[in-house]
Order: sequence, then structure tokens, then C-alpha cells
Amino acid sequence: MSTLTRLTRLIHEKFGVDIATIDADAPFASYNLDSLTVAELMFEIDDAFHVTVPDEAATTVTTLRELATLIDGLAVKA
Amino acid sequence: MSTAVRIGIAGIGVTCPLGDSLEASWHRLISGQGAVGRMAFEGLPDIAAASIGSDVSQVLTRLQQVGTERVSQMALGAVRKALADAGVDAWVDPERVGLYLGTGMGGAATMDAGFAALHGGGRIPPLTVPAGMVNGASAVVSIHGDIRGPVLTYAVACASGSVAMAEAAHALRRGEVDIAVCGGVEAPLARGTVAAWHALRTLASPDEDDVARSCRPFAANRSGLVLGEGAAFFVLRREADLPAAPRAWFAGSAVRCDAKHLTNPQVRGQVSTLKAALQASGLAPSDIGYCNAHGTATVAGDPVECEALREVWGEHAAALRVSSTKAAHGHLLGAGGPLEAALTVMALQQGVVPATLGTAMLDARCTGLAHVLGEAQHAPGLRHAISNSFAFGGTNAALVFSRA
Repeated sequence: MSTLTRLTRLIHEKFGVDIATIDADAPFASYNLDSLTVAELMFEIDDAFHVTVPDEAATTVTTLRELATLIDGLAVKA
Repeated sequence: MSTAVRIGIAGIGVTCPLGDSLEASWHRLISGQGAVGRMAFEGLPDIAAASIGSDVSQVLTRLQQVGTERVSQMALGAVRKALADAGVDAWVDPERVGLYLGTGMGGAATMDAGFAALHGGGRIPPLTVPAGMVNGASAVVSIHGDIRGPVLTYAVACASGSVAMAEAAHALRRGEVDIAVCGGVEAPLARGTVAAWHALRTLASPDEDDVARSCRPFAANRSGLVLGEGAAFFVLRREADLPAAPRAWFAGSAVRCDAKHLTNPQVRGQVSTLKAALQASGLAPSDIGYCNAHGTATVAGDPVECEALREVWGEHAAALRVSSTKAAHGHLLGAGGPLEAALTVMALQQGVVPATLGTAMLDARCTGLAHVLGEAQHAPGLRHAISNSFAFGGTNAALVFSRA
């Protein structure tokens, strides 16, 4: 399963967001993920993907596709 | 001194261990069925506690739940019920609506879980501060209720909600707001919080024969308080703004402080509070037909409250009906006052006084009052009632209500 698909499912399962409304290239806010929700998402990603998303990602990453690319470039923790 | 502007109770909403509505809670109370049960927390002996069985998170979608916790969800649910009861579903000017919310510990469960994760070597969740902050519940209610006037949080331990209600009525009298939403909320049934209360040696031990009878206010064999959770909110309006007859009148209130001890209540401070509340209501002791006592069932607290009542009521003390409904719903800390005020209003509306469940033989130091024990009492002539909240820290609040 691609990172993007896993992220989409995580957002759906965690926050109840309809998958059909999630546009990977649109800002998080377009499907009602505000800054606090994105912070919570980053926290969940660390556990789900066994990575450490850098703190600044919560402000520099604005779309799901950017986030997937970032995660794919991170080292997976043992 | 009687206050010139009458404050009416337009609506009440309750989410508490006795039920999901005021009427359901009232009927369970006067039928003699308490809500105290047994709860287990890791590393602690079982405790007696009064919890809410229903899923309180349903008031928000999962997306809206981000950054909220149980205390915020219970508050929002009870506020929505109070607004519905008052027939208010929207307002023209949101800046003329105020929220006055009392809570002793705010998002205690969130702080507890966050610190437990951190001290256990894990990470603290990023929304621990907004979910756990003491005014978190107020913020959530304001956001989802579009309340844009004063949104204030009162942290006055066990008097929090009663102080909030007193302040709300004053704000209406001063003309600062046109609609005052007020009350209290508490969600203390988390491991760390329960452990802290247990360490203070104030909690009742679960009654082995009948756990529902673990909290026995004023009884010779009382063993301490029973923690409860929940929320109770009122919609208050000035008489001229009431769209219909109110449930009751909020006749007056008083807030005073013992200024003596962190946890031991003082007769002097309670007496001055009770006298001031009666004066603010324009009533004499003999006018009051029922007192919903603070009555936590602690060894220290109950005799002090009874002594204060005897002193203020004097020759009328033996006729003053007194009960503590905490025996049935537990001690909701910051939400205790508003829940007990709500049940006091029901007593006025129904002409029925609830009993102190579970108490059979009174402590000799608690006598000299017309304690209502066993079963609820019919009191068709009941016109005025008082509800007491006496907090750790010494702050005392007394609220007086009159039949509409």
C-alpha cells in the first residue's frame, strides 16, 4: 500500500473525514484539518509509520502528497 | 437588601450519573436509586464512584473532538440541553451572551494521561495543553455555541459552579449580558486524580453490603466522600427578557471565604455566607423550606455545616428540611453546586424534597435539623430553598431559589 493511501486511511479512521473529500494536492484546510488537527496527525504518523516527523513539518508541509513524500524520505526506526 | 431585577431560570441541562436529563435524574433520585458503583484503577484499591455510562463524546464529530476531552464534551452536552430547555436555539447578538463555567480540575484526565506518558518514557501528545487547560471546556462551549460575550472559567474547587452561577446572575443584573449560560462540569475519574484524592484520605470505602450506599452524609457511620462526574448548566435571564414562565427564580446568592485553613471548613465562614445569601434574597431563615446541603459525608465537613445551619436558623432550625443529594450522585466537585441547584429547583417545582439516601442513624453532631432520610418528602408549601457549596480553600457559596 502506498504511503499516500495509508495516510488517507489514517485521516479517515482517526478523524472521521470522508475519503472522497481528501484531495492529496489541496491544503489540509480544504477538508477541514486545522493546525491542531495536523499536529495531532503528525503525532499519529510517528507511531503508525515508525518514523520521527520533524517538528517544523507541521508548518512547512501543507498537502498530503508533500507529507507522503516527506515520510518516504525518513529513516524507519527499528 | 433585595435585588431589584429578578433573575429567572429559563432552562436547565444535566448530564450526570443519575441520568442524561434533569427529569430522568430527578425521578431516579426520588425513587431512592443512587448511582454510586464500584470502580477499579490500576494500583489502587477499588473505590466507590458515580460515573456516567453513556458515550458523552457523541456531542461532537470525531474531527471536532480533536483537542477536546471528556470534561469539554460533558459541558457542551449539558449546555445544549439547557438551551433547548430554555427554547433558545439562536441569538441575534452573540456578544450579549455570556458563559460562566465552574470546574475544579478542568481537563484533569488529559493532563494525567500526558504526564503518565512522559514519565513513562513516552511522548506527551501535542494537544495536551488545549485539551487539559482549565478553561478548555469553556472554549469548546463558546466555539460550538457561538457565545461571544464574557466567557469565564471559575476554579474554586467544590464551589466553582456555584460561584459561576452567582457571578452570572450579577452580570445579568449589571446589564452586561442578556443571556447568561452558567453552571459547572467535572471529570475527575482518571487514575492520577483518583489516586490524589485517595492519598488525601477523604474517599469513602465501598460499602461491602451495598456499594450504592457508600456515601452516607451526616451519618454516624459515614466514611468519606464519593467522587462523581458530570455537568449541569442553567440559562438565566432577566425577568423582562423571559419568553415564558421560568422554572424558578434565582432569588439571590452570596460568596464568602473562611480565610483559615486549606481543607478544614469553618463555622464562621459558612454562617456569614448563609446570612449574606438570605439577605441578598430578601428572605428570613423561616422562609426557607429546604436546604440542599453541601453534605459531602466527610468526618470533618458534615458537623461544621450542621452547626452553621443551626446557628443561622436558630429557633427555626428544627423545622428546616435538609438533605444531601451527593449520597445519590456523588461529589461532582466543581459541578456539584449546579447539579444540586438543579435538583433544588426540581424540589420547588414538584413540591417534593429528596432524601439523603443511605443514611440511617445520624451523627449526634449533625442533629437539630429536619433531616430528610429514607424517602423523599412531599412539601407542597415549599416556596424557597437554599443550596450550599463549601470548597477546599475556604470559599463558600450559597444560592437561594424561589418557586415561580
